[in-house]
Amino acid sequence: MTDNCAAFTSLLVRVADGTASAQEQSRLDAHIATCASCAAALDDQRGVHAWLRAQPVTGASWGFDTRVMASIRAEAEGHPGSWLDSLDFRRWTWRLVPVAAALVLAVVSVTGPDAAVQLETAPTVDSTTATDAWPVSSALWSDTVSESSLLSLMLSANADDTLAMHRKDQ
Amino acid sequence: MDADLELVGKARDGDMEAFEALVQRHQHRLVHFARLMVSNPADAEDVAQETLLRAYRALGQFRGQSAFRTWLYQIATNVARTHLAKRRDRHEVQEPEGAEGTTGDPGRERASGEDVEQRVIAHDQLRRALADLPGDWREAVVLRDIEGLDYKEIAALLGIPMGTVESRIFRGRQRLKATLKGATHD
Repeated sequence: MTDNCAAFTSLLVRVADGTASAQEQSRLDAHIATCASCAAALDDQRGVHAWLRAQPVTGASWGFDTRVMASIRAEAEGHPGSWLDSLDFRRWTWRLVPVAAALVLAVVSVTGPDAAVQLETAPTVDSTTATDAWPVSSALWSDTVSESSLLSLMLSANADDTLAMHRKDQ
Repeated sequence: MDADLELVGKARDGDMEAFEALVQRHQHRLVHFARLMVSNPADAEDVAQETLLRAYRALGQFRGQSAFRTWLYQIATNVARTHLAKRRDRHEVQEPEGAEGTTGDPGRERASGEDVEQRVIAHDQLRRALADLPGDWREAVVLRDIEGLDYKEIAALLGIPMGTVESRIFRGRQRLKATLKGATHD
């Protein structure tokens, strides 16, 4: 192809795939009548275009759309992006605090008015009071047990433990 | 009139079933396109899935100035380019300059039927031939001759002048002719 032929590139591709206008077709016809190189190029372009159009479409595997939608729905619903997110213990631990508080209130309410009396007369927890026999749960209504101590008791104590078992030596 | 516009509108309003209908409508051609662009069948569905995920996220940005399918292919082209760039960084693929195409999947799909086997062979031949093209030629040829987009759509999708589209298609087809001719004589 000569430099002059480069001007016909556009026509060659369009005539080859049938998208050229009648005027463009005529222009190219006039050129290839005297240019064997472009005539051969047009044959090549037509042949490749036809071959490509005839190729089978190998599509998606079975279940592809289901997998795609599962991924999109998970993202849309704000699910954790990965299993690592679900192991973020800080996030789910704090979410349990209101649950724990609700359970405590439920226990107190279920035990009835007597429990309220017990609450009023519950001994305070201090180093001078005999507390060996008091259950660890008495710390819940004690006003001398600090919040950090209470949390520590809740996380480490067993139901049958007594306060004495967890009281720090002074 | 774009047949997808109604579904796109519903999907944009949060109708998941509408977007699922779009996925089902376009999945096969999208995976086929991805397969031809990345030349690695194993990655094709990843590319297609990423394309649909990005399309879902960006639905609000689709203005209907082009056909939804064209917009989808634009996303797919970008995803495929990113994928290929990563593979190049990992030295898994080189930009071809007349190099031989990648091999197919040896042993894959010992077809039970002759028709299926022929389709696999034909597709492997196509994939190898396209893999032999530089990326920008391959994009233009696949979008025009396989996906059937017109020149104006391709120019807008790729962000290049129409003359450049025509030039890439011309060169891509010429290269394919040489590749297929060489393969025939092997």
